[in-house]
Amino acid sequence: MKLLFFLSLFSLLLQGETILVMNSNSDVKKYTEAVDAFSKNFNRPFKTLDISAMSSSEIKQSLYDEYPDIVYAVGAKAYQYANEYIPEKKIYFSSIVDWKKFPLHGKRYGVSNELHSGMQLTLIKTVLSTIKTIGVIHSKYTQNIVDDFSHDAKQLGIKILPIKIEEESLKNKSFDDTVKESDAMMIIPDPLFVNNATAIKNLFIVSEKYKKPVIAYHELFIKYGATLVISMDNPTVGRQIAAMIESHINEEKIEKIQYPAGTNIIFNKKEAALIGVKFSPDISSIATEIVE
Amino acid sequence: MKILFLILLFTNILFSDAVKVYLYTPEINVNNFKSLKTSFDAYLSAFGNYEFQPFNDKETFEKYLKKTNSIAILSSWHYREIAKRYNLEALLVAQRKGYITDKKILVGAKNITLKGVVTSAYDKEYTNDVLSNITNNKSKELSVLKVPKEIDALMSVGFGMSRFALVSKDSFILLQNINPILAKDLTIYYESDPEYRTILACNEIDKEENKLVDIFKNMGLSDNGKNILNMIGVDKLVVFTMQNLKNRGEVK
Repeated sequence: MKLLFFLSLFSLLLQGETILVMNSNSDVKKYTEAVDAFSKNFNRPFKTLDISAMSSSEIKQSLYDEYPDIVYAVGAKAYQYANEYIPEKKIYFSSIVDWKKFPLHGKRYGVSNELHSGMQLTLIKTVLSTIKTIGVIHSKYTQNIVDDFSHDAKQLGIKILPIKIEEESLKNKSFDDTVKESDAMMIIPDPLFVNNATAIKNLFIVSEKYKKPVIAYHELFIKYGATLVISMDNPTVGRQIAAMIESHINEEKIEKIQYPAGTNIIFNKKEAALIGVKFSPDISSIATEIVE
Repeated sequence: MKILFLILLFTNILFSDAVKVYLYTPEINVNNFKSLKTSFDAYLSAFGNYEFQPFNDKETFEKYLKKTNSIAILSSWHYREIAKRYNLEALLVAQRKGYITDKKILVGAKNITLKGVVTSAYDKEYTNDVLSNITNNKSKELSVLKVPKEIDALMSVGFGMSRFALVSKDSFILLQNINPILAKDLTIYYESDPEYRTILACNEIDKEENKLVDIFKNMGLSDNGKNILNMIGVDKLVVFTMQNLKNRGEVK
């Protein structure tokens, strides 16, 4: 009897922690890329749950039924539900824009949605080595991002020129003076700026006038004429979460919130030739994609 | 009429098969197969009915290799493993920045123990093999996180996402030039012997296949050809001589 009890206990221990991958919406490419890469690289059993078509009560019921030890929440919606209904559990997250606005008490781990500013600047210097001054457009919402850029830029001998924008004056904002002073302009995910199509167009018109490259964070800006786009690699994020969970299970120390480890580079060679900006001769081996 | 057309189309497909060159290397992380294939195909088509076929996994690549008339571009690591099986002979070797060999290094922050996450832009099997070789089987507590580029692997160590990075020495030198302050905090823990870069190898080949080898030999001489070769991390392909082998002690 005693032996049977110990055997049952042993088999329970062998089963280990139960893991649930919660996808906010499997139709969103960046979520699915992260989940697919996680699935291919995580060597333990886990269940997946797409909550896009589920009601709040259905999600709550599923979480109570499964009651996993570990949740990997992909996207803000999945994180919010996991955090609300099973807050006592370990929750890993990724693909959340502005994750700092969410409550992160207790066992919360994840990969941020923004690349480390030092990583971005190192890549800018790798591709466009002659750039010494970068104008960065920001509002009060992204002051911290600009501060990080200014700090890390010093290490690389680059100067950041911050251009602070405000909602009232943005429509008629002329970027002439800053563009003239800078070797390149940079667009960061600032909610005020990226939601104003006129301001975006203005910036690209002025940059083209002074033949200055525009560096952006999303491939959508290529159609406006961005020369360089640096973004995080979504499959790497999924692999990174898999590595973080594995490290925890093996009781290794890791950073609770990490920056993405992989990058994608789109280089607009056509635009670079048009404005005459010098770029690395090794661009073909550095870039993920080259726009000819 | 329709049947006649279909017969002609079928005959055309059957008898005008392009001469193909296959590529797979665990050291190159090909993110954009479409662009790679389009660029190589466009270049090769100017010389004849040739086609470039890249693969992202070893098994599928090997399935396409035959014992005759095969041309393959592969890593020297993989070449050593399958050369005998497919009667392959190295004809050309990749040159980059003037060198036909490179070294792999394991880089990490200073004074840390050999455990935790190691970032690598290489295929997992290859990464584990190199790690095991260069550390003398002391890599059991390392787990691999694959990233798109070698510079990502290095920056991940510098910015705290991993403890170690397995990269080529060339990439570490590049980081030292671009971001010397970040590179200063990193140290080389292990270094491999010099290994040949990517190899172009063939078995018994016919006239058309021979012509294709010559096209690759001359590819690095033109700007366009060099740009395309750069996509697989190569400046040009040079003749693999007996002297190369003698230098490594592989020929007596």
